[in-house]
Amino acid sequence: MALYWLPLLPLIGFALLICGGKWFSGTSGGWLGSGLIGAAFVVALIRFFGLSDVPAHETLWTWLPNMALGTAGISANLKIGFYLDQLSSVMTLVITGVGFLIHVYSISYMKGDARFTRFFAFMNFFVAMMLILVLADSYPLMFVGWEGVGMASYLLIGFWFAGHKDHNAAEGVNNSNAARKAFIMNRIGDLGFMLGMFLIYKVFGTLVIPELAAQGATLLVTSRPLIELICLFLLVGAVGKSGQLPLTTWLPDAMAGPTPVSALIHAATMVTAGVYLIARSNFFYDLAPGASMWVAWAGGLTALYGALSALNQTDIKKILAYSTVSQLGYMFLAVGLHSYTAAIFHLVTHAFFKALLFLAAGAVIHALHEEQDVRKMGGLAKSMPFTHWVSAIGVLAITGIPIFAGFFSKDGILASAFAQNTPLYLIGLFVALLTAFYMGRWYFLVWRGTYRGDAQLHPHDGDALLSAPLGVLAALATIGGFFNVPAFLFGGTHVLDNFLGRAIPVHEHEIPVSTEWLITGIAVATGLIGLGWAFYDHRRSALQVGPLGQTSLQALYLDRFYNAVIGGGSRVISQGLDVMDNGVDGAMSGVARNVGAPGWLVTVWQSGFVRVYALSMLLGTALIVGYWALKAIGGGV
Amino acid sequence: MAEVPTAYYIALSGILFALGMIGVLTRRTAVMVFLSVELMLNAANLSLVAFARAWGDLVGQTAVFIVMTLAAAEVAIGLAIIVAIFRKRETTNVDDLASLKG
Repeated sequence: MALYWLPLLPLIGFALLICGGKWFSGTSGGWLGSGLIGAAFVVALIRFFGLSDVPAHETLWTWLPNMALGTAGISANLKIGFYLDQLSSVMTLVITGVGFLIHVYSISYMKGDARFTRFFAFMNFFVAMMLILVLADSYPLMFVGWEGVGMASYLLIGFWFAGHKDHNAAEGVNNSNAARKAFIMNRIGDLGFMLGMFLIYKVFGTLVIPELAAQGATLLVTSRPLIELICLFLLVGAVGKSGQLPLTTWLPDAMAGPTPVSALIHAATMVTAGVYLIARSNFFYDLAPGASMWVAWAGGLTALYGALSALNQTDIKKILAYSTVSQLGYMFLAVGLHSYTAAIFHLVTHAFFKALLFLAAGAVIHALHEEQDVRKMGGLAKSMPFTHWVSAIGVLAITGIPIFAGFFSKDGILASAFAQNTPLYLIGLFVALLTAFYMGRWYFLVWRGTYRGDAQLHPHDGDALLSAPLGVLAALATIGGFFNVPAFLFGGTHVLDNFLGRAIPVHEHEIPVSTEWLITGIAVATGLIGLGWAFYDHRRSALQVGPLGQTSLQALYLDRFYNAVIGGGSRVISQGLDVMDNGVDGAMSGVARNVGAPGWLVTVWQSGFVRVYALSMLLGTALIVGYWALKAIGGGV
Repeated sequence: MAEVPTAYYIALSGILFALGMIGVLTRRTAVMVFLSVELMLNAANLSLVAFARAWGDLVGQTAVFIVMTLAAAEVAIGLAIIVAIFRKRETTNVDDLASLKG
């Protein structure tokens, strides 16, 4: 199967559903959309098993062929080409696999929505664009996918633009604003990506990634500040797409979209694009220690920021949203430390357990008739046993409890941080503690204790369509870690590291086995302490108000800070410009009036009355005659 | 027969001219305004003739013929205009014909 089938299948789904939406009655549109993603997953699997050490590079056609000819001193390689190596292969598997499960789940979740078919059209578009992003062999083509997912996220976050079920206009405005916010903040990042591309083209004359990667010697003699600058530009792009500091505030707001969208954006696709971009550009970052440090610190601080903000959230999805911010911070931390494989490993396991958690939250929201406030939940373990168990698995996975997926991937990141940068390691460890606490808080508030919500509701597990994807994801979140067992554990073989190592460099860090055991022990202990802390607060019934109070609930006031400084600043500037505009306008009007006034005096004379004209003639004549008469008399004297 | 002094003609001419001027300024009917203008023209003609006789020169009399011809042409055109305006507006009151004011 040619590579173009991967994005083409969802694109076909998008075209059919958006153009022929009315032919698909009931849930048939959903089944079509899911089926095509499933087919893309099969293609991804076939290509995965067909991978050799030589990456597949398939060129389809050339953009602007005249420009590519090399006439008149211009030549640009603008070929549309797809590139499949171990890295992009893993990404395609995650995107189509998790995407497929989310699609199936959505058939049940979105049932009865007025725009059911359109929802699947957008979702298919999203997956198609994400596949173009990861398969692109050149930065411009990657940018096409990059913008495509931005567009799709805008459409999907604002999907309920008229309020859920079209009956709450105020909520609809909020949803639309959230969509706009995501779109605009992403554009800020895109500026960085574009500047990076321009600079790469200026320096290297090509934007094709394998060609760039192959320029080893040229890269080494290129001046370091240039490469650092390229990396920083690309970092700005990645930061925007992945909701890292300082462009992080759109991501929690993106919860305005339907829950499967949150799962798809946050878990499997869009937000991981930033991590993918940096991992894909590893040949640059390996030569740019300064920019890499920026990446690592952006990641570390974002991880801390996200975790602190998640502590006291009350919305079942917002806790998970800030958790995503935090976990993406871990991934940035890892790519910044050049541990690309650790980052991708965490990306994969995070896709499993975060999608699981989001979909479980969706099931809860569904069962409680759109209730999202965790303070009005509790004790749901009894009424929704299946969802409870998969959620528990998700919580254990993200907390890093052994045998669950997050344990292995987070451990890899912490180990590389320990080996290279102690402050970042300590931040990572502290974030692990906070993660365990807020996820424990999430778990206890939703599933344990007594029910605090509307007594009229009788929550129960979702139907098979809701449950099956949850089950599969729970299984993946449980065993996913075993894809990449570190060497010191159970005689592990680093399967994923070795696999990815054929495409991206693996920088081995030398840590004695005993130290590695110690790090692991500390990480697990941290997770357990965090969970224990949450359990203790649960016993004291003190969980509803988490630590840090308003500061955490307002996400460290970052949003307000932006609104005050940037929003307020722009408002002041615009008011100033308005005053200036009025001033210039007023001055011009004043000049015009002053020019017009004498004219007006003369127009009064033109009364149109014949006799007035005759009188003025008489007076004029009399004046002239009188003048001559005076002159004659005077002359006589 | 005693010679009438030129000054008498000039005085009469002045009186006629003033009467014509008062007519132009006070009458509202276009036709009457026209009549008054004719009066003024003829007052001027009278003084031209008087001066011509006083200096024994015919140039002034020639000017009178030119003025009379002009006056005839003016009446022809002016009456035509007045008739046209009357057909359009059903009035010849000059105060109502103020459409060209600035």
